[in-house]
Amino acid sequence: MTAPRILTCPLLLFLCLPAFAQKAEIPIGVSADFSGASKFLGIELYRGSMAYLDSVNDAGGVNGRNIQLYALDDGYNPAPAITNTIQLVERQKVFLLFDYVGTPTVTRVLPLLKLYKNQNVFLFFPFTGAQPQRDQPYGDFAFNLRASYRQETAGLVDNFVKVGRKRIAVFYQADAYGRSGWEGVRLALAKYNLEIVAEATYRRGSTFSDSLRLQVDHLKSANPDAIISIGTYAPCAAFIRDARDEGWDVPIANVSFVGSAFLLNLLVDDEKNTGKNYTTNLINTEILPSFEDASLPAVREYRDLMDRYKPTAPDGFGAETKAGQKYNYVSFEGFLNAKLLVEILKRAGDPPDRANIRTAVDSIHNFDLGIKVPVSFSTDKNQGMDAVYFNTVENDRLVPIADWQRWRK
Amino acid sequence: MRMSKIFRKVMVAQIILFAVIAAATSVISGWDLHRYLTAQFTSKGTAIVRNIADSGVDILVNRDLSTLQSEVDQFAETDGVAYVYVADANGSIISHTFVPAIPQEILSNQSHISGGTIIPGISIAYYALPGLGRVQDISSPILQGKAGSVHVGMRLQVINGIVWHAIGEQQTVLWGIFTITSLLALAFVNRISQPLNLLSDHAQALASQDFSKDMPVHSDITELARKTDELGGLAKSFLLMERTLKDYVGQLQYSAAELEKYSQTLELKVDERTQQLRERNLDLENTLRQLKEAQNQIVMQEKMASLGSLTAGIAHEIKNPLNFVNNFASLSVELADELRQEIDKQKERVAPESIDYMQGIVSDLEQNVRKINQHGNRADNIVKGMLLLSRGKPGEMHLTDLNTLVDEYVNLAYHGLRAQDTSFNITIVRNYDPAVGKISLVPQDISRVLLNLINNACYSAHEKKLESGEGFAPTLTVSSRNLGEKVEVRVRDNGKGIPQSVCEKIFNPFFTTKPAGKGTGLGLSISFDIVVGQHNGELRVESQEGEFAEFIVVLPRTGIRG
Repeated sequence: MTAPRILTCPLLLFLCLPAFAQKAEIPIGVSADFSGASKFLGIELYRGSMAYLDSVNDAGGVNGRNIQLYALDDGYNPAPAITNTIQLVERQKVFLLFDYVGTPTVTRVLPLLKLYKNQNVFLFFPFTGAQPQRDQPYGDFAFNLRASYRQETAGLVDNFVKVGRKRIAVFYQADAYGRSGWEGVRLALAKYNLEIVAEATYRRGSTFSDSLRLQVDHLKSANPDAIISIGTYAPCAAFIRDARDEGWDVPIANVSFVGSAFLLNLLVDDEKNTGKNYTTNLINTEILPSFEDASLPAVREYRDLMDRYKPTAPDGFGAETKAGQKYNYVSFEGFLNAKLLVEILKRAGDPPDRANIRTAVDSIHNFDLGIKVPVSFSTDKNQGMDAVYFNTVENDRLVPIADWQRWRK
Repeated sequence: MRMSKIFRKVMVAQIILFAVIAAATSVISGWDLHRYLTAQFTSKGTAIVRNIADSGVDILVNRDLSTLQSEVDQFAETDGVAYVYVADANGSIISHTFVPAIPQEILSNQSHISGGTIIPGISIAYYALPGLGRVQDISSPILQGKAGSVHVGMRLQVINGIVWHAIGEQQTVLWGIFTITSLLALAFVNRISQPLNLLSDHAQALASQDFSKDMPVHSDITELARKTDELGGLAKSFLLMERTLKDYVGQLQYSAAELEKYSQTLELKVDERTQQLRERNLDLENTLRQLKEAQNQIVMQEKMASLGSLTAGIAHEIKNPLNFVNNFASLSVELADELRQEIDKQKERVAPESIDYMQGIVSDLEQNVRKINQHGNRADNIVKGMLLLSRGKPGEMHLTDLNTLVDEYVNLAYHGLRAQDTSFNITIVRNYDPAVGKISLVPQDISRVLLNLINNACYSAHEKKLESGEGFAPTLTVSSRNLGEKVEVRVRDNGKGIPQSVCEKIFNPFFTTKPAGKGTGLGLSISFDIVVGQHNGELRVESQEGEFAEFIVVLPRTGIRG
């Protein structure tokens, strides 16, 4: 579970050093999962960000400074995430931290940031909807773009209750991330004086080939109306597969962190192998508008830059990974993260100063990223967006849910 | 190595005793360790529970559950911890580490705890959970139960595992030490039991009174007797006893051996004497035979000698008157011839009747005289032969080609016989071995022998021819053969053969089977004398009556005179 990925770090550092020497740059530290059970999330988020940063650097950077990402692998495990963060801050002297992936990792990194509070080390836009980086005592050291899991789960609960599905069960990852989603569901249900009717967990790091029958059976015995699934794509896909294999067609809802594109990929591939139907009655929450909505300027720009720069995974990673969909929510989020980051860097002074970061972020007010939803920060609010979008799968594609009545009970 | 039975029993008892001790030690130390570890686990669990309970206050009051979960997850990784969970004041579990779900055992006990029996400090319960085994549940209330409670499950199976491992190690070490000490003890015991075994062996050897071979233990016992301890004394006594016994037994054995030796040598001597006698006997027999042979020879020689001198004397005495007879007979023939001529001259004067009468008388006279002359000559021949037989003076030895000599006399004999009798004919088969070559001999004597033998053979074959008629083809076979140091000449005829009775005396002088007047009976006798006497050879005859006769002459190459 805590297999350290630090060994690859010196290699990465060597590869990055020459660029550092050439030109004035703004070093940005990244620690994410590039090799573990959720590596597609880390890689795609990185690629999306790189597409935008490459274009900015091509256009001369920020005030003539290149934005350089230093990416280290933590395998979605807390201990390497802490080691990587210390490495990035103290050795690499990064200007800020960016694009971290996962609740268990970020949750454990936050106290470190409080330790560095005199140095003003901030974490920007971690790919997680958990509360610790939104609430005190660590909320001051992180800035979020995406809506929280509480918002995502609350949206799901609200909609399920509306269509009469009040017996909600939770399938979640046995860690801080799972607990975060679980708590979101619990709080949302409490509004209606409801409780979670059943819960089942899986161990972080489980893969698609693992059997999740025990969890399916356990939840099925409670006869829930709907299941909210807080996990990563591989075990969540396995859970859906095992549930459907048992002939259980209860609606299963996943949150944004699952990486809907990858979840769908696994299920569609397995459908081809087994001839079964794994993709009906699936619901996904997203915290961004659809990356396929070409009416949005940001979508057009994202697609354009992805096509133009064809960003790759960090050096040494992603070689063996199957290419995901060309465009997806994760890389779209990475793209928007980078776009907002660049705007903040531009406002952080010339040369950019860490001390100016908070002021720069707070100055973002009704900022248009090109997704028709304004982004705003303030001293009280370290989360730029609150929107939650609901999708379902039709013909192997994610489509926005037009009407929840189809799940009426 | 042999171990004394007493020591073996002691060893077995020791092993059993040690096994009991080892088992007891393991039970005690295992139990102690188990108790100690359980206490350690409890205190470890207690520490975790207190820790989470203390920090949990802050988290539960101020923070979200994912932070609490992070805290809980960290402690759940501790060794021996089966699970951690936190329940809120209502008893519902708000953070836990169970996968795939909270066990029913925990859920059903939950209501009991939340039922109001909240006591300050730590409470302990036990669960048997699927997949985790027996678990010790250590719990502590948070803020005296106002904020909920923390539970930590410690896996007791881990303790068992550690205890068994420790017992295993302990047993390994114990038995290892026991094995080593046992081996040392075994070696020591062997050193003690060896002299005892020796003494026992020695006593047994003495009892069996087997002194014939060296007792294998003797030297070891002697070694042992040098020691000053009790065993040494015992060994000394044994040695003394052995010596005394050995003396007695030795004397007895010596006497018995002597007796045995006497009886054995006696037999041997008798055997030896008998053998000697037997050999002497054989010698005597040989000597007797040789003597007999010598005697025969002497008799033969004596016979020959006396005969020789007798015949020589007679011959000499007869020769003179015989000469007169012969001379006057031949003279008388001439006289008779003159008388006839005279009568012829006086034919006219005498009456024819008288003339015829006178002439008749003269021719009768002439005929008589001729007969006298003829028989006188024959008598002369006999006398000459007799003289030859007795003659002591040998001829000269010459190196002669035997084959040539043989062939020459074969022809001579044949033509001689043909001249006498025109009806005579015989087939001659010659079979000479060229390897015979030249040998040393007296040619005139040997030729005489050959002529004799060939004449005899031809005569015999011719006789048979005369008896059996045309169907019979008389054959003479003359062959020579090289025998290395000797040569052999065989003269064979297919004539009437010689009866066995004749064979025995065939070489005696004057013995002949020819009708009176035809043979002198001296031919073979002379031949024998020439071959055996003069040339130191052999002359023998082989025959089957009515079938064949074969005379064999064997001559040494180096003509050593007999």
